[in-house]
Amino acid sequence: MSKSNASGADVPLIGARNIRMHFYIRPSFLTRLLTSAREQVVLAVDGVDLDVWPGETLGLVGESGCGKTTLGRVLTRLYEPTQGDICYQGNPVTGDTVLVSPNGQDSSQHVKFYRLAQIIFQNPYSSLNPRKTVREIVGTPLRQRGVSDPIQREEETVQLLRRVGLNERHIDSYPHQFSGGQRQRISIARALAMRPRFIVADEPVSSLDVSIQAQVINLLEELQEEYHLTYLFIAHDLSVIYYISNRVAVMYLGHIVEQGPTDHLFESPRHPYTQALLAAIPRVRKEARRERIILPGGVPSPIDPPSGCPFHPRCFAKVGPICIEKYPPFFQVEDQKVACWIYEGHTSHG
Amino acid sequence: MENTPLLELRNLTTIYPTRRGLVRAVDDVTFSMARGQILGLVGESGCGKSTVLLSILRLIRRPGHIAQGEIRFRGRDLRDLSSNAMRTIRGKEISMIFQDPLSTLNPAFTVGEQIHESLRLHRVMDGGRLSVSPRAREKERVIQVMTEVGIPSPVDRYTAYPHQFSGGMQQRALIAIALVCEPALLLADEPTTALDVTIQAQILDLMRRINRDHGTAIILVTHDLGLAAEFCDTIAVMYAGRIVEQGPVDDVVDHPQHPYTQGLLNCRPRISHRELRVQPIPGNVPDLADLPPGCAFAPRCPHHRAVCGGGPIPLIETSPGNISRCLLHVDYRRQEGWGWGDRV
Repeated sequence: MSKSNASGADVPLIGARNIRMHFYIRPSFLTRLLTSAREQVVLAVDGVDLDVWPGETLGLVGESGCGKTTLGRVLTRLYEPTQGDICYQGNPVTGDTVLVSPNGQDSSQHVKFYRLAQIIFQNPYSSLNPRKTVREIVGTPLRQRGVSDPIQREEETVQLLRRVGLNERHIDSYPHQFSGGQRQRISIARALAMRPRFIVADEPVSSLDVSIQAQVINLLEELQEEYHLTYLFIAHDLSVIYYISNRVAVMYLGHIVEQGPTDHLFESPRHPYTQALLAAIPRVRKEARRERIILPGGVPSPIDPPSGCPFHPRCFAKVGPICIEKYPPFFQVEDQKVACWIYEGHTSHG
Repeated sequence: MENTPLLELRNLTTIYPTRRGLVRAVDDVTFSMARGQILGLVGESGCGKSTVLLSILRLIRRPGHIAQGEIRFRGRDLRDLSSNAMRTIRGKEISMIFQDPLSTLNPAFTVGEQIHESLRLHRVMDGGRLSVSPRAREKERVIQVMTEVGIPSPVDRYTAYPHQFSGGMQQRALIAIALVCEPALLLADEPTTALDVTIQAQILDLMRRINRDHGTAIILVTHDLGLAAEFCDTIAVMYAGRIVEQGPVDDVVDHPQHPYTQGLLNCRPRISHRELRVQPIPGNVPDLADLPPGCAFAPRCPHHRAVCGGGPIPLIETSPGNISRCLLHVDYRRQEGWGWGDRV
């Protein structure tokens, strides 16, 4: 637990309270007329509280459709949440601006939130505009940041390219001229150009080859140290999460079901879902393999999630009817927070 | 007969002509497997592992073709068979499951019909001209297979369409199609890559049970060494169209011989060993149309010497049952006249 809270900050860099992100599926008039289809609500994120501390890497894991990408986009304000607040250093983000005091003592000023929070997307093939050169791709955020002098912009672009391990002769190339790993490096340079404090990395390595993944992971770690970045690292690959995160939050069907320091969470997972997830990782070494827990069924649809604890239809450790009736609050189990009725009796949060 | 391997590939070479030259997607691949064995073909994208599977079924699309080699299945060379004879093998004796279940299943037919189809084509249940219509018995068999692969309420699901199934259920349906004729060999091309971890565990468990209960041999193609380590008996690691290392799973994983296998193991973050830094393999996967004359991994290899680029390197037996294609094992002494297909 070297890095988390190492800054000694008492205010989280990003604080999210009771975030809900609901998407509405509205069938067309004709469909409604001909069938009994009605408006449906996808509860992609359904009441999430999350703190990201300065300088840490918070890993967010979960299976597809659990809402982790949606949460990442809400935290960078790409989505306006249906409900809930996001604070930056304790100051609420309103619209797309936030009141910050640059050095802590000067009078505070309004800053565009995108200056502070950037995102790296999963698929480097679709997240870079194929009609723009690297110069334009990286130059756009620089211009937004206020680097108006073209010579200075060029200099900084070259610097950024070098920093992420690309050659400056690549500056006038188009995205299709690069391999997947190189494209992801361009995305990283684009995010860095804004000099953000907080970066959401949404599955940045999952579309890359195994031997290339490690290059990008190491690059992200170096950059974090160099620029004092704070990461929310979204992935479904638990070994990558284990490697890069200080703290981990596990998501299931729009809720965070467990969070805690990486080592403790991987050593003694408390929530039955986390236990099953960890047991399902294929291990290279025999002695590292856990007793297999095979969960029945698949992840239910977020359109009509199960009542109570959303995990109860697949759970192997149900306590009783309360699991079906009531969503559990977080219980503090040592330094992990677990949303499971098994731990009723421990101190609870909200 | 007892000693004939179920499947034996000898010097299989598959070529795709491209604008930039001949691409040897599979180059001199040799291996054999016994009944009930599980073999893992491991490598990164573009290393030719899926092409091996397609070559076995002779599904290589023109202008690609199998340039040389033998594919002996139960002693017969599949390359000698007519396309009609080949059709009686596909789906009946050797079947295949693909990576993306939704694009493999036909959206216009019910899942039950699609499982039924291969039974009907291969006339497995046909008792001859005088017997009663096999349809009822065929349907019974389909329901039985659906139950076996764990599709709940199979009688109702028989008439459901693929889009009504979840990803895991679609993959189960695909496995049901592959298994309905009880093949001796199942080719699985990244069967769990499109699925979530907990669903992956379910599917692997199912495949393991099929292997145990029916003695079905399985070739699992995957990029995940951890997955192969848990599931397979034998592992063959491929790089740029060639097998670079092969051996029993525990040997390959605990004592990798080839620098590429070592690199693959070291570049994965390992749970319980966080203090170990991941060591990326420098550089990129090579362009298959423009391979060096010698070892294809040499430009990325920490142990390479000038001699590595000099010419073909054979598979070298490092210990009984373990082979590795690296000059390191012979103190960098390359002999003239060695070919890619040789074994020393």
